[in-house]
Amino acid sequence: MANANRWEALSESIRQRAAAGPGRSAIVSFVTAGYPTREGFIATLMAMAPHVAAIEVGVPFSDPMADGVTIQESSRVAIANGVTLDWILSQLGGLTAAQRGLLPPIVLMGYLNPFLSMGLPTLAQRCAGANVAALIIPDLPLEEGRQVRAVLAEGGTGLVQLVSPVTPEDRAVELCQASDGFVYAVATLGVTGGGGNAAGPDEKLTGYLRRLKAAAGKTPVCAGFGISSREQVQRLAGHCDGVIVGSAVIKCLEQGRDVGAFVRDLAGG
Amino acid sequence: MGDFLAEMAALSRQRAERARAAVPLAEMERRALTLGRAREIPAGGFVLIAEVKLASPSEGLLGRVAAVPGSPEAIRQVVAQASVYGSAGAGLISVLSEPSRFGGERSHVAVAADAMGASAGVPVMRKDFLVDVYQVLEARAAGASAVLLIVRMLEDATLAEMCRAAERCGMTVIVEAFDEDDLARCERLMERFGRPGWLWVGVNTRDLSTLKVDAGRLEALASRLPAGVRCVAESGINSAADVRRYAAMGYSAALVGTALMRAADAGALCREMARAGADEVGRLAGAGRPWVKICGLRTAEDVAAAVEHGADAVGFVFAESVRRVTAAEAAALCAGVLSGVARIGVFKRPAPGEVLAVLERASLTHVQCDVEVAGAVRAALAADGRFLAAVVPVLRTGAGGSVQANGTVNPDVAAVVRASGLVLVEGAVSGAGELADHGVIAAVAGSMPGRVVVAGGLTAGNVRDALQRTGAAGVDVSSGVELARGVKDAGLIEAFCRAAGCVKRTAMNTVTTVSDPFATTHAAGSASAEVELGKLLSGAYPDARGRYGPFGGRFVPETLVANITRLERVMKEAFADRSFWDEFDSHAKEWIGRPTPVMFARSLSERWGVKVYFKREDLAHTGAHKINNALGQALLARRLGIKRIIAETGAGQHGVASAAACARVGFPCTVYMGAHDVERQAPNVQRMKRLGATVVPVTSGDATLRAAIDEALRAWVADPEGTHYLLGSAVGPHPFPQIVRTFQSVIGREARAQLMERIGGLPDSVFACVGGGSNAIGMFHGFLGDASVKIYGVEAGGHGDKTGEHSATMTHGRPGVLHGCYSYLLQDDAGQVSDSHSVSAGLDYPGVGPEHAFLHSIGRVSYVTAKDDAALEALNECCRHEGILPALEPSHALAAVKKWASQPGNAGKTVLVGFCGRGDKDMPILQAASPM
Repeated sequence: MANANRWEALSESIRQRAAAGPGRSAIVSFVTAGYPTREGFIATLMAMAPHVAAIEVGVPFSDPMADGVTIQESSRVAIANGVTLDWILSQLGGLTAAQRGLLPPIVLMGYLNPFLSMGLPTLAQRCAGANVAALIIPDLPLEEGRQVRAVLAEGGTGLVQLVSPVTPEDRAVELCQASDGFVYAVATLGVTGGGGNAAGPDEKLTGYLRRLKAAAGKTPVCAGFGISSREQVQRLAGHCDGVIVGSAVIKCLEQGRDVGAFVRDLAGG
Repeated sequence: MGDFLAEMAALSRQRAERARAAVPLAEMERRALTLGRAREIPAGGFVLIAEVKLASPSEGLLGRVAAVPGSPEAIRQVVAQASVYGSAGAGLISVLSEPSRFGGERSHVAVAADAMGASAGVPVMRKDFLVDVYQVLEARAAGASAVLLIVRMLEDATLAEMCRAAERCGMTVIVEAFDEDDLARCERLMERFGRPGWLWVGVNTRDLSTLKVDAGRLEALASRLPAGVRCVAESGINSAADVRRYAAMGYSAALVGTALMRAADAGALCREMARAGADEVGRLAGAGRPWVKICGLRTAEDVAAAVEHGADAVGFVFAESVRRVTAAEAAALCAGVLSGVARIGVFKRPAPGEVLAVLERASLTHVQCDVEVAGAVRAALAADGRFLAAVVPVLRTGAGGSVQANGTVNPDVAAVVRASGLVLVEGAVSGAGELADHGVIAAVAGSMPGRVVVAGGLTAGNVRDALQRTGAAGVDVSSGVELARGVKDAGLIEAFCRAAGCVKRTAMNTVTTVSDPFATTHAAGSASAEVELGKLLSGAYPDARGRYGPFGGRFVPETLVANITRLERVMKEAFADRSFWDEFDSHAKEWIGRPTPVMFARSLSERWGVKVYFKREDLAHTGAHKINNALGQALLARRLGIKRIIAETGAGQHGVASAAACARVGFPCTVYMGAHDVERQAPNVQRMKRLGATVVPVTSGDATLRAAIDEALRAWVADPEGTHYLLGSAVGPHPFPQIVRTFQSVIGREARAQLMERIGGLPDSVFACVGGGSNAIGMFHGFLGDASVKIYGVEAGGHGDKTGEHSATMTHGRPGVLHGCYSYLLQDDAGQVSDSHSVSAGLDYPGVGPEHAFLHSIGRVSYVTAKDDAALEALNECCRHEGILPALEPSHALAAVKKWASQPGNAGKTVLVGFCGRGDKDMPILQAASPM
């Protein structure tokens, strides 16, 4: 079946936003599905939609080992709200064509077990039905993920690879080449929501991003982990194609602030 | 001949020529013969050949320190090692004399022989790449009583000449084979010399072109070993369990080098291996029962019945018959058969292509066909590279048959019969239930002892009589176990097997297939339990992906991948480094207090009506088994070049052990502990702090062990290069389960040896509690290869069977990924990890180590549960009657033993319990549960 893949559109969306003009940045915003309430899920997506290149929808997991307290807590609340992978895919699959037209590409980010629990072939099918462009699975390293990637690809869904500052050079190249949609460059060691680099990107970080960009070729490189302010976004601009903001969005929701305005500001209006 | 062998041969030839120039052949022969006949090695029994090898190309240095061959240091090492073997049950001591790659010297043979002559009198073998008859004489002149000759290096004529020289000196010769072709040459040599007791056949599993060990080869070639000859299993034998397995396959000797050179206590391992081999050979000899084949099977139930009731072979008919099955059907049926059971494809006069087509799909061990076409079939199999399926020719009695009335085989088929192992003899028409002429068969059986299988008209009622009258080695039944034509009956199969003297198989069941969720194409991955267990025992599991069957793996964020890869590399280097183990052993002895005792629990034994022995890990330093792993990993951490150690803890035992080990080895230590556990295990929190550790209470998640692991992993992600995560249980991403098991396996190794010493045998059962499973896996590893020992893992049953009320992962969970590995997991339908409960903090974990999941899936270990109240009751009983306060964790094992003891048939049995920790830490819980 010549099923068109959806990760190309994801790449394209990031490239377009990055090239939208001076002072404009491609933002990939993250939100834990069903946080703070299930009812507000689609509304939150719609609020962010006009300003971002893509949205990462967090599939909550009971043991999020790469996440800091903010996302841990949002996951706990979401699970308590009854959010499951099945529910998320149903919500996304149930959107009207008009609603879909308003949304940027959607990426699911979650830990392996809920995905595994659904069964990979079913997962691939449901992701296709829900128009999911790609998956990010932080506890699925390259070696363990090859089959997962192959099954997902049959349904047109990609698998985004994460690269870390401690990843050896040759492995980073391999990861970049195996990544669909974009390359997720983990900007700092540690869990999500950690203290960002206040002084701005140092030579080590910019060099790392430069090398990833060279290795990724046409695939955009997005930096994430510990990025929460417009200043950080601006300092990173030019060193990568897009910036991923997660814990800061969750904090915004937690405090009941306007999440649409928040991501608009991050993106530079 | 491979490059390596060619190189060795060339060097060896040069050495022979130089030696001959110094001492002429005639003089060497005189020296050899004047020494008198070599020491003879008695026939029968099992011979452990222990090898002195100071280096090898695949392993590098094996001696204590590098030593120039022939130097005083080398000589000292050779004599020391040989002396250890000499008093530890070795039947023959092999000494490498190859200088270029194996650190040997001719003089090493001489000094070893001298040392032996003076003490135990164990004969010595010269092992080398011998190419010249001169070198055989040279060996004898140096005092060797045996030589090893590599068939592949030698022309038939030279081989025969060297054997004759050895025979003149009264020496034993091992002719070493690598494959079927070599074996065929050995067979011819045997025929030439008339199968004398001094001529043995060795099967080497190491491919001398790649130097890799293919352990499967011993098994694959087992069915092709020459009859009536001592066969030696060589290379890749690491444990007594390996020795036992190969002995069960028909190898009555094993040559062990690397494992003994590496062993911390070579004497103990040597003794254990020799005993395992002797036990197994003794058991087989005592069995003295015929080989039994159940033929014409068509359903999985009938195959299972045959296997369960102890048949040696199952037959699937591909010839025209009501019992005919297709290749695909046979493939499915074969998948359910244990590896020790032969799977025989039954043909009549097939075209060779037909046989190959079936072998393509079904994993058959033998091809049975009429003797008239057997030669052609064998040639076709060989041409296709299928050496592993042996051909069983069928001879028919009666008019027009291939056997004459006096038992003589027709001359046109005599050659193919001689070349075969088993030979089937039946009446004129096969599968007709016609009773064959027993007189004729007796005559055939007499001419081919141990090789004739009688078929035709056998039933449970007449099988004994038929065996007695024919003297056949085996029986083949088909219609005799059928209710109607082509319809087998499990009851009749059982009755036949019993009448023939088969022993029911209870130790192991076929695999419960757990599919690999990552596999996209479903090749029904069912292998037999025995094969799977063999992979674990031989070290093939964990494989390169860190998997035990489908379980295990390394599911970690990218930030940790480089770390884990480095950890695996450092682990391998350390485990192969003798100085690492020397240091570990010295700490283990004087700091931990190893070996911990095995104790007979007299009062509980009386009360429960079984013989209960405790392996007292509670007496290890810091009060639990956890210290073994904590020490080992702290020593590993030194090689990692990290700055600090972090650890998680549940009951606090691993936290205390880590704090202590870090203090001893010299690392700062931070321990993550669930806030709930900080409260219920307060005494241990104080101990950790006193030992200098920082304790971080974890309030996220369920605030128990699982949340502590989550948090420790997060801390590790934050500083992967400066931190080592000292994981305390046999869980987590590869290589942690392997590391933890390796350090904890001292428990089972010691316990087995101590019990053998004490009661002269193995226990009937072994029990240990399982949370993540570190003490249990350490204990179980000592006994996995002992098929007679039933092994039980005891999970925490909590206070109910509902989610959240227990920690019985294996009983109630299903496979999933948590904390970096694929294993059994308590989880809901959406894949969220469920909360667990146990009164014992150390068992309160929703996952379990991947190796346990594997052992569960192959049925080698049974996992049962014990509830909170039963554990508390057992704890109190142990306090009052044995004067020992056990931790709540092993109290679960005690509760399970008590229950087991009350079950019918278990009275008087012997049981070993992993008594993994003391209960002082549990005082707050005990006081709350039953105040005093």
